[in-house]
Amino acid sequence: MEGSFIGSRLAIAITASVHALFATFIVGGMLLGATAESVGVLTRDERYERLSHSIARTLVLMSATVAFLGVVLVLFLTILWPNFWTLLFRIMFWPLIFEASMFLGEAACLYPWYYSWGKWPRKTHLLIAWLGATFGVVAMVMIDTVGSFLLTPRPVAPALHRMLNPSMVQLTLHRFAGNLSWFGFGIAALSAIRYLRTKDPRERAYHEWAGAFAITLGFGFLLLMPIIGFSYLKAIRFASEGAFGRLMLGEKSWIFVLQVFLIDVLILVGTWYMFRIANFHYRDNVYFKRYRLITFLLLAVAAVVFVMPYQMRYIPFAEYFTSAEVNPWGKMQPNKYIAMGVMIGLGILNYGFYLGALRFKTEWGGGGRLPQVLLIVLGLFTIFSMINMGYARENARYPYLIYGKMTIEEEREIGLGGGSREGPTSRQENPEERNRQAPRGLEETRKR
Amino acid sequence: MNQTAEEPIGRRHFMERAILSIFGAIGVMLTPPILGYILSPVFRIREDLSQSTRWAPVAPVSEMETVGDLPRTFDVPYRVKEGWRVRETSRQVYAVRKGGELALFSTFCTHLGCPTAWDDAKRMVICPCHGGLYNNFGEVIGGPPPRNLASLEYKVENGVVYLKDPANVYEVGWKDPRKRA
Amino acid sequence: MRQSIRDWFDERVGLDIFERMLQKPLPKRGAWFYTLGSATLTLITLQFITGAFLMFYYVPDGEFAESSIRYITEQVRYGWYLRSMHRWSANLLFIVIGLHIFRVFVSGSFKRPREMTWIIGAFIFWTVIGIGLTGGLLPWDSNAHWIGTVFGNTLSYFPLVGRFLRSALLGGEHVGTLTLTRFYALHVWVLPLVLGILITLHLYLIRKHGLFGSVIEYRDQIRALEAQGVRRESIIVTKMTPDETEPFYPAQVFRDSIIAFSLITLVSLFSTLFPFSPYRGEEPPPTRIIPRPEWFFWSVDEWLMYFPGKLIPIGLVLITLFFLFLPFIPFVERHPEVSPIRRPVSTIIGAWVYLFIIILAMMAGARIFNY
Repeated sequence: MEGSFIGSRLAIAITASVHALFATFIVGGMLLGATAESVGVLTRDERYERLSHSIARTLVLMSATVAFLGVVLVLFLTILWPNFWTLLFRIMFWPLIFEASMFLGEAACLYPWYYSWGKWPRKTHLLIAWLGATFGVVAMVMIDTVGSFLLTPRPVAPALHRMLNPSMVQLTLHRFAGNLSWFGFGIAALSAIRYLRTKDPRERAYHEWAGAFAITLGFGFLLLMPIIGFSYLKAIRFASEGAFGRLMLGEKSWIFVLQVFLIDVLILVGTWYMFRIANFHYRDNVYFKRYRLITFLLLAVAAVVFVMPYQMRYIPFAEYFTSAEVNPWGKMQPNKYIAMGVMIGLGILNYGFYLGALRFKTEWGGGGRLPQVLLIVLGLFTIFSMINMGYARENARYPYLIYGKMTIEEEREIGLGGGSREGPTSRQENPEERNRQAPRGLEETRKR
Repeated sequence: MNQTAEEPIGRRHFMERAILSIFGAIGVMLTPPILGYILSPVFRIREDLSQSTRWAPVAPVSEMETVGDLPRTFDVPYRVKEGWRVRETSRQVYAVRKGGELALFSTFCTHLGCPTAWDDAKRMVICPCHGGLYNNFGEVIGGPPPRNLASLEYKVENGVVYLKDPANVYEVGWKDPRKRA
Repeated sequence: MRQSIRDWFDERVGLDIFERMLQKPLPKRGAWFYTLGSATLTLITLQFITGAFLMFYYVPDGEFAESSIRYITEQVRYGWYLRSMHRWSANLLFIVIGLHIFRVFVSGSFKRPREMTWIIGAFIFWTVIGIGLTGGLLPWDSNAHWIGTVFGNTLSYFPLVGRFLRSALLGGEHVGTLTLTRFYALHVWVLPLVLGILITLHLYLIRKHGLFGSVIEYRDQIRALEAQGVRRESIIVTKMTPDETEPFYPAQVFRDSIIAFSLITLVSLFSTLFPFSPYRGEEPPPTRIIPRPEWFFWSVDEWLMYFPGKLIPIGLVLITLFFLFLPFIPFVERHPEVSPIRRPVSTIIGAWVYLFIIILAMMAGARIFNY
């Protein structure tokens, strides 16, 4: 029955990932849609109105899917991992109930928001949009309480400590910024597809503008992500040392290297796109051309330093190229800190240049195909990076389901995964041992 | 004619200069004394330290014999001179057996000087302020600290371990000024 | 009778100046946002009053400071109330000042000719931060001791002058009685004196220039002037038509009073419900002491944490540059446009900075809560 247990893990993982992908999209979309409509009201610009309307349509189409996936996820958990799910539901009863009702509230705002477009008074309409966005954010906070509890649990009582567990605030902020970033890149990719499919110059102008607007938010929040993520990892290290070791230093560190590669790609491609769009403004400026070249060189070097793996032995296929166990260039301190600082610092500068140029951009639609292709690449890589990050986070606490409290072995004995044929010795084994590294040396653990 | 017309201007010019010099002189009379007054403790640090406890008793050797691989915390009472007053206070040190030798090191995190503590469950020295991590010998294994926990000099006399210069503050920051000399 | 008394004073003091000040026209639109400045002033005044009376019993001495505070909170009649008022209004002051700065930045009120008002406002902000920092040490409990230590050691990472700065501020190499006395002198006399002078200048400049309409449409005026060939930098937009304005007294004074009343009620309520009396129970053993900075330094604390080892001075210098940059904002953004919608770059950057500060503070708060 070994197969069916792996099957259950796979089923839950896939459902949870897809559910999370859609749910985060909706939370970000609600916020961005409300923002776009408000900006439209303030600037009296038709395009914002159209953008928020199409966002609303997308969200209406998606919210049924996300509800379905959520129910499937709960079903899977109840059937496949009843032990874990009962325990978690008992601990996190109120947050989960609250989360579900908040989602209901969000949907109850989303539908009138879309269907009453142009019919309701503007203030009521805006109010309902922002109300829905608030419900979405509260639902996200609630589910983050549960999600962060799995990785960094605290004693169950008092309730405040259970809710505000060590990584809860960081996870919430990470998701908040991440959702907006993901939605920004997602909607940019969608408008890029629309741009490439249409020949009408007015449509093209609108879709190019929508992509540029979405990137202002997507890239802006992307710049926050490494900073919040750093704090998040610090919180994990403090609360659940083993999980941190497994993820950053241990056998799963290659996932994180992959993640860093994805972040590199997002920042580089995003910068490339921004320079393409901003080019019209700085075309005649010689210094800007030099700056652009230097920026790309610096960013590329920083990206390479940032992505360099430290623990070579855990990288798949690395043994064909080198016999070294660690790569001294990939040290966290100070190499990767500097690389990260360079990437964020230059990112902020380029973002500033981009915003400054965007102010003067009046002619849209003539940007050609390349920027749009870049947007699609950005969207795809964002999806990839979200799934990868979710996998990394959930995998870090293996073999625990709730870190330090409940292992996957305990679930196997009761759930459908088949009885415990291995006998009682399997439970004697301290799960902590699996995460423990070879003796802690200075160089080895210096990475973070 | 010309001279009479210029005279008031010359007078005015003189008075402007005079006002400037008067206030400049007042400034000169006031500023250096005040600066010296404020900074006086800075210049007296060395003198104050020389009047503080030079050797503070940590624990009897027999107790130190029981210290193993993992750091144990000891309270060290000492006196420190501050301005006009000599204050009784205490600090902590870690004692650990490193390669058969007794080693004392500081409990102050080298990052910003917060009090660290040994965590038995995680088997690390943890700084609560910014998450600096050290191993059982006070070597940095993570977080922002710029160097290892400062190792402290000690001597054994009459069966008691004494800590050298407990009031000195060289345990925080990049460099250990003792090594420069 | 009343008239004659008034005339007597008018002849000797010159009441007409004050009357003209009270009649100064203010924009009607966004008037509630302009109460943020007076709210700041209200809280600072409250700080002055409560602080002055706390000095009656407080002893700035390494041995007796903690006991004297304990005496104030536990034995002096209403001592707990005054102390809690002092602390709660300090906490509220930072929120209100943050909102005030944001309002002024977003509505472009620092534009010509109000640059000096903004610069002095920035100096006021520095001074208030200084007072908050020095005040944190005065309770002289173990937390205060570590706050002083951490602050001094932070300064010691400044390139070249670091160690000198630390010694000069702490009055020695470590936190002791000399630190307490100089922090006390700074907290109760030097910095408040500076603050008083700066506030007077700030108010004078506000009265000189009047307040700015926040989102009133100046665009047409600017366009017309530009069409006449006036350079963009030299356009001053101050004129408001009479129907857009109303005199300071009584309408704005009424709003200010309402805000002042609500704020002081709030502070009083907080002080009664959550009084500061940290001396309950036993002192934790020294190994369990966890230094907790005041919440308004959380974002700085978190920021400094991101720079390990050799990089610490970079973080320190960056954050110092940020604070030093504040007075120069009017010289960076010089065009006369004031509407936040019509200068999106500034608005977006300002919103980003605030968001970033809040995120940093939240993460630091979570970290401190969970250690």
